[in-house]
Amino acid sequence: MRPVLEVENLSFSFEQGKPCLRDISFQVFEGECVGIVGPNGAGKSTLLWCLLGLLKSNGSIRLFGEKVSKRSLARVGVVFQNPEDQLFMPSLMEDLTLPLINRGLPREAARGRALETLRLMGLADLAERSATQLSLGERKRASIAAALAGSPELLLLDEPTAELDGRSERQLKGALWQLPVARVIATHHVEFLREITTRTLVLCDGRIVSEGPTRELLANESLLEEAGLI
Amino acid sequence: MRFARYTAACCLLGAAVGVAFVNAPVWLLRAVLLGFLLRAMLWSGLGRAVRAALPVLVFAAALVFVQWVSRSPLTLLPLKVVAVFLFTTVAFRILPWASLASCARPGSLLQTLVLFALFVRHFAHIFTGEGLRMFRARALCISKPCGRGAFHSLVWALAAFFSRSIVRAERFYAAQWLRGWAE
Repeated sequence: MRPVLEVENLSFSFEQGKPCLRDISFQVFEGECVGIVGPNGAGKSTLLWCLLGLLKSNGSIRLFGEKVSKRSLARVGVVFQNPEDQLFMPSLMEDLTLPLINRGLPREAARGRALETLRLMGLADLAERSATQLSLGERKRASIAAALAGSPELLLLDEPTAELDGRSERQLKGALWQLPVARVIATHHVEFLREITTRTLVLCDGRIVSEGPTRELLANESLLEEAGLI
Repeated sequence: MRFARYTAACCLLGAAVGVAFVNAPVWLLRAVLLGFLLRAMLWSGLGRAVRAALPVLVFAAALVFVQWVSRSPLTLLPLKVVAVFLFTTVAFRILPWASLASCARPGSLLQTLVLFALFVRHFAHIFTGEGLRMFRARALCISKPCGRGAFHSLVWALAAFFSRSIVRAERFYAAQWLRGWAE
């Protein structure tokens, strides 16, 4: 399998502060679902921001075998913790179609793809609604749909289960489970990762303290306790 | 109906630009009055319309105060600020946003303007939400609006409001940049 994301010796610190991320190295392969788990303040979101080139870090990050650039980022979909940061159009349909039309897709084809993606997320009936009129769970799924509409090869999700109730969480899990793209999910929600990811990295104080198959890793209670996850 | 809304919104935006060049206080006062009347119609009641415009009224009052304290001649700027705000917000409310987003050709100047307006509208929504949350939190931690610690907590609420707004703006920009919108 081909790696879609390669990170080597990544380090990052905010100005004159102690290092937030230290010596992070890992790979994500095509179609793989990888979890990044860690307590609040462990550096999960910062790591995602570094991967996207939004924060300038030391070390090497390669997306699809090349350096992080506009071209490589066009193949990445991102789901932010707060869906309001992503969805701002008067309707979900517009939120999904306009980036596609701007990339040169004819309007009808763009609408078709947007509707297909919304259907995949169980939101086809809400296509003409604005994100502000949806529940938080629906908004989360809508932001995933917005990220997926561009047919990304890698999907990065930051705390996808934050503030969701059990039912919305199950729906989100179902939606994420069936996706054919590589996924990186950063969360502190251990149970969510147990069911959805195949491999997990445990991040604690800006370091990867453990890495391995999700079920094995998350069965290790002493490790989880040490990392502040239980 | 859509055409009528577009026309009315364009007239109001034109009026908002126009009042910036008016130098007759009487006409500016009339414009402010008209703005409040329009808002009262749309915001269902004059009281709600005035309450919703309170931050801008406070800002205008602060401008007058600063001019008075510095002993510089009082200008018409505060009145212009209020009038422009009133006309713009009414125009924003009546614009048919849903059809506006899809009518512009990709890459055209119109699309850039529409997207800019949509960004502003969305961020105003975020800004309002953050402000309400912050000031509600402040109201919960003081006994009286003007009592002990009221000023201190107001300063901290304002500071927190600005820092939260910057964080939200940063995240919003990052999300849109990744979607290829920000350029």
